[in-house]
Order: sequence, then structure tokens, then C-alpha cells
Amino acid sequence: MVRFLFQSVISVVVTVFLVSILLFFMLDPSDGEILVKILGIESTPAQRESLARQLGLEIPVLQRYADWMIGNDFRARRLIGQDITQLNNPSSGDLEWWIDQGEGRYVQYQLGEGGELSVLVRNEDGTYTAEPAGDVWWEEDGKEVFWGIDDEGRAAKWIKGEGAIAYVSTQTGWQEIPGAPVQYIPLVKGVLRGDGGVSLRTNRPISNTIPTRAANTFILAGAAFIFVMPLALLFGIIAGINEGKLIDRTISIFGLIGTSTPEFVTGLILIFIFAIQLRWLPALAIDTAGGGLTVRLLTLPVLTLTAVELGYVIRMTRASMVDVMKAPYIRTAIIKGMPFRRVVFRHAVRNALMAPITIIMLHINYFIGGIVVVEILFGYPGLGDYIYKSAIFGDVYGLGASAIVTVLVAISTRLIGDLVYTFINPRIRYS
Amino acid sequence: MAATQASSPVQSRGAKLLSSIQSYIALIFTSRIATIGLAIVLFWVVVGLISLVWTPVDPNASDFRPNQPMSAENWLGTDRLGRDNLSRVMAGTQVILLKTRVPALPLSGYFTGLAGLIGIVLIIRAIPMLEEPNQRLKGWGNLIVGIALIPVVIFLNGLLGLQAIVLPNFVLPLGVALWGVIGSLSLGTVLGLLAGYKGGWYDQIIMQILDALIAFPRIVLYLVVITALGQGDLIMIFAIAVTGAPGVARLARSQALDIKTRDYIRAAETRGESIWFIMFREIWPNAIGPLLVDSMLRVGYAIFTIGTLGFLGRGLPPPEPDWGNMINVARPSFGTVPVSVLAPAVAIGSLVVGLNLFVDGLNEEITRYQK
Amino acid sequence: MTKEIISQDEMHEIHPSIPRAYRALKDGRVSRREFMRFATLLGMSAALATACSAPETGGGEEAATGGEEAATGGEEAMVEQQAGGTLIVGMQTSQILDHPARLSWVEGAHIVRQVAEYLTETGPDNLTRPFLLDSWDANEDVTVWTLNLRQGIMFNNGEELTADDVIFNISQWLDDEVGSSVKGLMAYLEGDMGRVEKVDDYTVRLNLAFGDIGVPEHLFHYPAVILPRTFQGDFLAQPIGTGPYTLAEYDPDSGASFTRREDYWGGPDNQMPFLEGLRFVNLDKDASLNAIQSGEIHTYYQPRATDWEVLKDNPDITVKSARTAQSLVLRARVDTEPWTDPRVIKALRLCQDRQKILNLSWFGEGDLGADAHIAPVHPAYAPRDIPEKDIEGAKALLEEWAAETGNTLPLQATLVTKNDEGEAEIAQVLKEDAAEAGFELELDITEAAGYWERWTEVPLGITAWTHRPLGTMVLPLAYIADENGDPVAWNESRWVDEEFGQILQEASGTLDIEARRELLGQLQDIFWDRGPIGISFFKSRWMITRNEVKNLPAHPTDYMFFYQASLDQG
Repeated sequence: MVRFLFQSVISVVVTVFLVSILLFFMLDPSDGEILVKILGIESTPAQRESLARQLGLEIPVLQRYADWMIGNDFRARRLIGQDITQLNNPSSGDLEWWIDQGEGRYVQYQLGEGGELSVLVRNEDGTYTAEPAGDVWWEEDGKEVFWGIDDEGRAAKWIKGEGAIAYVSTQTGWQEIPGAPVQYIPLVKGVLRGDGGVSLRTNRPISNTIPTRAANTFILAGAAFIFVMPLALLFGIIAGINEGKLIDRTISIFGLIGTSTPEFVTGLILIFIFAIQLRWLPALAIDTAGGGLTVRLLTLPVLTLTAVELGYVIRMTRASMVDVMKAPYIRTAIIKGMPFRRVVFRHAVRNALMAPITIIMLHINYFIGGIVVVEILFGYPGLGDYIYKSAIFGDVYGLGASAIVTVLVAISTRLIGDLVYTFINPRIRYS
Repeated sequence: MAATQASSPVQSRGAKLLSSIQSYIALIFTSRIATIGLAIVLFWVVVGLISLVWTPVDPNASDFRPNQPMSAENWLGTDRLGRDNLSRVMAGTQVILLKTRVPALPLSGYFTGLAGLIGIVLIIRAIPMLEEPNQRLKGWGNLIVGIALIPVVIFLNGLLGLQAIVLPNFVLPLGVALWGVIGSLSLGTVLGLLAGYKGGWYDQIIMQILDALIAFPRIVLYLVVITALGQGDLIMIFAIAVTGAPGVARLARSQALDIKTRDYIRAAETRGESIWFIMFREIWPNAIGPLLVDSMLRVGYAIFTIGTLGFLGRGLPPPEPDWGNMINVARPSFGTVPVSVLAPAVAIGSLVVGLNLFVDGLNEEITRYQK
Repeated sequence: MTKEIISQDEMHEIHPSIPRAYRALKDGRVSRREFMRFATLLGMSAALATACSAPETGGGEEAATGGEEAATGGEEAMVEQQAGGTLIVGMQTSQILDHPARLSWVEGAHIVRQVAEYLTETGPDNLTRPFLLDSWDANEDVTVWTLNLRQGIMFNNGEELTADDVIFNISQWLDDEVGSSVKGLMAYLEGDMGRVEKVDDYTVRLNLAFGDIGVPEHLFHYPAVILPRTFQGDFLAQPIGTGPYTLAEYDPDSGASFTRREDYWGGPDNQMPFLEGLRFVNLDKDASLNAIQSGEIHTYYQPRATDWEVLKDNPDITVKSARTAQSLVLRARVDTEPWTDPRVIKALRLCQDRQKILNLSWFGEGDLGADAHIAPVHPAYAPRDIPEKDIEGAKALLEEWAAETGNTLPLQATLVTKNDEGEAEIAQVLKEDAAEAGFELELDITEAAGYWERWTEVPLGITAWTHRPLGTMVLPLAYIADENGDPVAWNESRWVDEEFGQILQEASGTLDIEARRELLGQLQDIFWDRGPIGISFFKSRWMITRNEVKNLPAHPTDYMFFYQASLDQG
């Protein structure tokens, strides 16, 4: 058992590693498409390049991958030479990076018009007061440079100006006004430490978004699960007992039709009938007036998921039930004259449920696909919707972090499925 | 399975396969469900074939008033561009089942692709060789050539200026869903048989990588691939192949685990046959039956997924009609012209139902036959 | 009969050109709308200009109504409006929002502009009026602009709006590090704050490097909201402005909430804003379309043509439309074969069945065009006949060209566009109709992003161009050369015509409406004669609301302003 768990943990680690590599390198944003998406098509090449530097896209891809996974705050701390820390901004609720100079003094830096560095001292309410920084520069390759954190919370490197022009960007000869850092490192603690960085799509920390979104999805999936399972098991058992009879065929056919009708079609039909024509239920799964989730709001999305999932679970339960009903001990019990009803409920059902429960755990992956579509259809702010929008935008950080969450969910449910199966079926041993 | 097990191992490979297929065909017609399923699938294949030469009107011609309900002129109404829905539903079969549009690619693209394929084959071939002391040298040779092939070809492509020679676009027979499943079947079978037959570290490594792919929610993987590579028939095939391969591999592995304990395998090993001979001449013909049945279901999944992606606006590219995309386009007018949504929806649904019935019936018969 | 609202002498005092325009109005040579645009451009207040130009029958009372109409944007001058209620709007809110001057998406601007406002406003009728400004003056050659601020306007942080704030904002627009698109628009400032001059606490003067009549329109460019001079770069940290609402909550994932501001400058005497609250809900258009039908939202941003078609007959829903200069431009690159010969593109243009294209692409909602990138909604547009489809003419041109150059017909070409806002439909129609004339068009239709990656590069394409309030605003972006003689960055057709450039330059500095119409007419004729583009129609845009929403007009650029909107509480 310990060995099995140990193997599973290794497997999770390897899987997350592979998945992260696949995601990061497939969606590498450094080709510049993402810049057009962020800045709009009206942006100039100079603006795009400036943004690329601010997003740290000119950092080599392996370094960026490492930053994304394990963070770069320690790297930045070494460059800056001072301690840095994340503080909550009370007005936006987001975490921001500041240099911690001790005794509750937190600072960022900004280069002013005259080429003089200002130090921005943080006030309690998250705003700052600018003060002259004095001579903080140090020598590097004959230039006076300074590493600090800029007013947007990124590690940034400034070079002190020579004369009127502070510096000329070395990359394309694009003339910059004094005040812009020459190099940026967008600070992040890394996915493995629970910080996926800042979304390219919304410019907000991903780790703020994902928990609420995942919780929403969990509610939706949970509601669908609670609704589907009893129904599906019931119908599956009925169909299984009556194998080959009319009732079995009817249930199977309806299940099959439900499963084979894409969820977007089911959803469209349900919305049209219940929300637009009858006006019984809302067409969206969110309260547009700003309130929380209610049963009313979840009804249509859950029904849509049910239509698709019901058939699948019925099939599994039915198949398992048919198998069990043919097992010798059930036949023996019937032959011995035990009432049919009792045979079914005492012995058959309990044994028959084992297989579908574990298979359903494996099915979670497919289920997530349905959830993505349903969330998009009903404007539901869950993880599926987030994944879809991030993918469409090419937001590697948002997509990466949320995909890893879904992968973890899929792995852990599979693990639980395996464990449950081992637990209830002692005949199986994991070596 | 029972049918193939009964056949003697000394039979030639071709005869074995033939008898296996014959017994399956016989099975199909003993099951009423399988027959119905097959009829539905064949119906769509026939509709697609007809649409290649004839549709009531050109499926892309805006000849009618937009968003019309069903009428004698347009049996299934018209879409928002005034195109005939019936013709479009008919032609929608093509991209899924009957044809794959290969875009105009530079010659270098084909060379690199071919080199990649050969490289992968060489690498896979090299792995078992490394284990045999007398073949180790050859194995290393294969491995190095395999790994070096792709960068060398890319370099040569640049040198020869092949990038400039663009081959025009052309059409391959068989649709995207079928090629995708063929892809996942080939990839999955090779990996699964290798993992199952060789066991040990091969098993560990191969299954670990495939587990990572399985853990990826299907739709997320599709979205990632399409976001990264763009929309296109070949890319969709690639996505279907990659997402389907792990499932095929698991099945192939369990088949291999079962079959490798048979006497005729031991006999072949004693004869000193190479691992590839054993895997593909001995195990494969006996394992292919269940894999093919499973593939039928996968074609259904693929059609479903292509539909979903089409609905999300990320499906197969125009101009050929795509059912999912038809639904997406007609979606706003669902209240006024429901047929524009329902017609392609019924097409997707019935094709998937047909494949499911076919497989269900077949499986039922196989189980019965085994008893 | 009617008395004059103000004498022509008084008009002369405001600007010497106004009396002439007024006479043109009285003679029927210019329309009311054009007169208003012209008079307000020269510093006449909007109400006064409306009053002057009001229809003569009915006298003073009618004129007063006209004034009201100008203030509310036209359609619903006299509706009774109730106070209170929260209006709910569907819109995708997940774009990046930090410095408003850097905005590149209108959705973000919609969040910002409920809190912060513009110096001017281009109304639903495509006329630009002073807004935070009390008035503006321009000299005769429109190189010196004086902006007079309204006095007593307070930011929601309690500070008064002064010239310093305006100057701060202009400096932000011109700051490279901010990266605002206003900078390029105001090229006449040459990025030089030395051209911006503070006259007194409520007056700012712009000294332009070259004359431009578009300054008031530029001040309404969507990133050009006025922020306080203490602004530090993140709007969400400092949601401060002079607008009717304050930002209560913003979460890009779920949306934005606003609450009514009690001390809004447009407020006390006329109750504005009427609404107690305003909510933007993060929804895509498909979800919005369902939600407006089921009554969960009141309106949504930028309904599509297909949405209009579904909603137009719904008894619970009100549809208002606005004519615009938005167009889908069929353009050929004249530096690639075979488009180097103007006859070829003209042949293709002749194949356009304009009404059919409008019907299929935009459900017949719009103004037909005649291949000139100047729309009927533009002031000083010169009316021209709309050409019929002429396959024979096209064929003749094409055959003449083929015979001369030794090319064979049919002529093969790939038409590239995106499947987004009706372009694909145009391509489809064109492909079919042009086949008769000897074109064999292959369509390459991608998602929007796929087209924008290469829109300036493809030989033959259909590009969506947005609305710009003046006819002279879009032409310098797409149909001229830079000082080196190379086509400017957005000149996707690479078409440069010396005569065209000269007339355009003259028109851009010409205030007199009749003289400018004459010039624009010449430009339109050049477009028809040898231009590189085909424009079948100019789109209409819609504001679609539930019936209880009052006074929320449609706007040519789909801008939504809620300072005068209200909700009927049933």
C-alpha cells in the first residue's frame, strides 16, 4: 500500500512536469502574437517591443519556464541586493511586490523626468509617497546601474543617464525617454509554490482567480454529480435486471441519445424552451444583479450536464449489473429460492456498483469537457470558461496554471478510484 | 477474440487476419443492434459519397433568402447566408468521413515531416536493440541517426531552398475523424504492444508519458493544440491522434500482456525471432480485433469533439461545411429557424448513435460467442 | 415668420465664417446637421447652433425643442424619465485595464468612461460638441485651438477640474512610456508639450504644427478621458473622474458595478444621472443574446447583425439604429500583379451587387457606398449615384486588359478575409458574381486574429474599417504616402495618387462646408475612377435594449453613455 502510494506520488510529479513542459513550449508567447492581442492592432512596433520587455519575453525560454515553475523572486532578490516581499493592495485586493527595508518601510523605485531616481515609500493604504532616492547607483561595465522594483511591482534595471539622453534602447535603436528601465523581470513565486504569475489576458494575478473559479466549477460539477448519480444508478440497475426486455431497451436508447447529443445542442434547446419561451428559468448561470448562486441559476446547466452524463453512467451500471446477475453465486441464490428482490438488493447491487464507481472516477476527464461547454454556454464563471478564454487568447500563464489544476483533479480522482477499488475489492493487489 | 484464438498459430498472417475479419463480419449480422448501427453509419457514408458528386444545390452558394424555415424548395431551410441546409448537412459528412484537405505546404514541410516519422521509427526500433548485447552497436547507430535526422533535414531544407517550392493543396481520401483515429490506433498500438510485451522500464516510461496525456482533460488538450498550431484538417488529425493514443495504448498493452503468455509466442522466442517480428507478426493479428472495435467508438468521440470545437469556433476551417460550425452560426437564430441548429445536431447525434449501437451489438455478440 | 435667434453680426463675432454657412443653410445648400457640425467646430455652443438651425415653421417653441434634442442626442427628446433602478449591461470585461490612455479595447473604455469623461463628445448624430469644454475656438487656418473649460466641474475626489488637469492628460497621451494611441492621432502636436499652452486656469491653447479640423473629434478618441493630475497610472487603484458614476467594484472576471454620484456636474437641475446604479456583467455575445431575451440584462455592448435579426421583432425589446461610416473594404494591393492595372480592380468593383451584398452581409441595414471611403453620414459628403452591378462592363474591362497584357482569363486570385462581422458573406457573394465576368476567386477566410496578422500584406483582401466622425480622418491613414513617398503604415493597398493627396490636404484644412464638399466630391470621383478599393455599403449599428430602458441612443461607434439613461420601474 505504501509502495502504491509512493508510486502514485512519483507519477503525479512526473505527470505535472510533462504537462507543464508541453503547455509552456506549445504556447510560448514570445512570437509576438500575444502582444498584438494585448495592445490591439493599432499598436506600433515600438509599443509592442516595449511591452515584450515589460512582460519579460526577451528572457530565454528555459529561464522563463523555470521562473514560471519555481519562481524568480530569489533571483531578483540577489540582483536587487535587498529583501523583497509581497504585500496586499487594499484597493485592488491583489498582492504586489515591494522591497522590504525593515521596520515596516516598503519601497519601490521610479525614474523621474530629470533622470533622478525616486524612492516610492508605501503608505498603509497601499498608495505611495515619492522621495528622492539619493545616490543608490553602482558600477557595472562602466555604467551606473541600479536594480530595484518599479512602480508596477516588477524587478527592473535602470542605467543612469549620460547627459540629456538617458539611454537609447540597445535592441532596435528605438529612442526611449528617460525613466524607462532597460530590463524587467516580472516577479512570480512559481506554479509549484502556488503563484502562477500574472495573466496576460486580464493582467491580474492568476492565483487570485483560480480558487474562486475552481470553487464555482466544483459547485456545478458537484450539483450535477449529486443529481446524476442516483438517477443513473437506479436506471442502470433497472435496465441491468431486465436485460434484453423492453424497459432495458428503452432506457438504453434514451441514454444513448442523451449521450450522443452534444451538450451544446442540449443546452441551446433547454435555454430556448425554459428561459426564452417559458421564462421559468434564467438563461445565465449567474445572477446579473450581483447576488450569489441559487438552485434556480444552476438548474439548466445541471440539466444539460445530466442529459449527457446520465447515459454514460447508465451504460456502465447496466453492464456491471448484467455481469453480476450472471455470476454463479447469484444464480445459486435464486435457485436456492431466495426472493428475487432480496437477491438483487442484498447481493447484486452492492457488487455491481463497484465497477461503475471506479470507472466514473476515470471519466472525470471527459466530464471536464462537458463542463467547459456548459460554462461557456451559460456564462458561468468557472474554471472551464477560464481555460477556454485563456486558450483562445493564448494566455499561457492562465491556461497553464488552470490546466495543471484540472490535471491534478483528474489524477487525484483516478487515485481515489484506484484506492477505493483496492479497498472494496481485496482480490486486487497492487505490486 | 475467441474466433482468433481458435485459429492455429501456424496459419499465415494474412489468412489469420482475413479469418478474423470474416468472423467479425459474420458477428455483425447476427446482432440486430449492430446491424442497425451499421445501417446508420453506412447511410451517412452513402450520403457523403453522393454529396461528392451531387447535392440539391451548391452547399456554398447563397442562392436563397437567408434564415428560411423548411419548405418544398429547401427541405431543411436555409442558413443565415441563404445557403441550403440540406446540401450543407450532406456535404458536412465529407470533412469528417470522406476527405482531408491538405493545405499548400512548402516541400520542406513534407521532408521534415517524413524525416520526423522515420526518426521516430528509428528511435523506437533502437530501444529493444540496445538490450541485446550483440545488437547494441546497431541500436546506438539507429538511435543517433533517428535523433539527428530532424535537425539535419531542417538544415538541408534551408540549404536546398526547398522552402520556396510550394506543393499545391490536395485532398486525401478518408475524413479527419478517420485519419485521426487511424493515427491514434497506430501510435497507441506500437506503444501499447511495446509496453505490454517488453514490460519493465519500457512499460514504466511509456505508460508514465501516456498517463500524463490521459490526465489532460481532452478538450483542454485540443484547445492548446489548436491555439498553438492554428486550425486545419491536419492539425485536427494530430490532436485526435495524440488524445486518443493513450487509451488505445492501454488496451493494446493489456492485450499484449495476455497474449505474450501463449505458447506460440514462446515458440517464436525460442526460434530467435526479433522483437518486431513477434510484436507485429504474432501479437498484433491476435490483438487487433478488440482494438478495431474500440476504434469505432473513438470515431464517434472524434466526431463529437470536432462538433464541439466547431461550435466553439475552433473546428475545421471553411469553406467546406462543418456540422459544429453550422450549429454555431445558426445558434443566434435558434428561436426563429430551429431547423438550422437541429439538422446538423441530428447528423452528429445519429452518426455517434450509429457507431455506438454497432460497437455495442458487436461486443454483445462477442461476449456471447466466448461463453 | 420666425425671428432670428441671434443676428448674423453676432454670429460673425463667434467666427467670421459662420454667417456664410448660415446663409448656405437657409438656401438649403447645407443640411442642418452639417451646419451644426460647422458652427460648433468654430466655437458656437451646441444649443445655440441647434436653435439657429431649427426648422422655420412653428417659431420659437420648435427651436427650443430642437435645443433639447441636441442635448439628448435626438431621438427621445421628450420622454418622461424616472429616477432610480440599476441598469444591467452585458459586455466582456476581461481585458487589461490600467492606464486609460493606453486603452486599446473599447470594452475597457466603457468601464472608464462612466467615471471619467471627455472634453468633447461626438453624439449619436455624428456631430461633435463641447462636453467638459464650454467651447472651443480655432483660427482661420485651424492651427491654433483654444479650449475653454467649463467651470465648477468637480472630480469625485473633491478637486476642481482645471487647465492643469487637461495639460497633465495631454502630457500622458504624448508620453512614449504610457504608449497611448492618442499620440499618433494628434500628430500635429509632434509629441511636444511645448505646443500645449496654459492660458489661464480654465483655458488651454494648442499650437498645431499644421492645421487640422479634427481636433474636437480627436479629443473624443476613446482613450482620451480626463483624469486628475494626481493620477499615478492604475485606474483601478485611482478610479477618479468627473463622471456621473463612481466605480464600486471591478473584477474582470465577473464585471463592474457603479453607483450614482450625487454631485455630478450635469446633475442638480435635471436629476442626472437618473440611474441609482449601473452594472456591467462579463458575458460574451451569445450569452448576452439569450440573457436579454430572458430579461436578465437590459442591454449589451455591440449587438451583431445576426442578433439584430433575432431581436428586431421581439415585443419586449427596443431597437434603435445609427448610421455610421463603418465599412468592409475590398482592397487590392496595387504593387502586386494583376492589380497594378486599375482596370482589373475596377472590373471586380463593377461585379458588386451592392444591395445584395448589404442584404446578405448586414441584413439590408446600412447606406450603400460607391467605392469611396467617405460615408453619407460624414459632414460634407457629396452625394453620388450608387452604381449598379455591371457584369458586361466588368467583362469588357477585363478582356481589354487580358488582350493588352497577354493574360488568359479567367483571372485567378485569392481573396483573403476574416469570418467576423459580415466579411465572409461579401467574399462569398463576390466570388459567385465575379465568376460571370471572368474572375476565379479562391476564398481564404480565417478567424479575425488570423487576418489581422497579415491584413496589410495580402494582395486581395476585405478589411474592416471603423467609424471615424469626419470624412477626412480615415483617408490620411490609408491612402497617402509619407514624406519619403512610401505608403503610410496602414496604406494596405499601397495606392498613392498625387492629385488625391493634394486635394485631401486641401480638404483637411478647409473649414467652409461647401468648399469642402466640392473637394470631397473630387476625392470620391477619383476613388471611383482609379481607386484601389470597393465599398458596397456602410453599416448601421444598433442599440438594443429592453423596453424599460429610456434615452439610451445608438451611437455610430457603439459607445454607451449612461448619464442620461433611465429605467422605467414597472
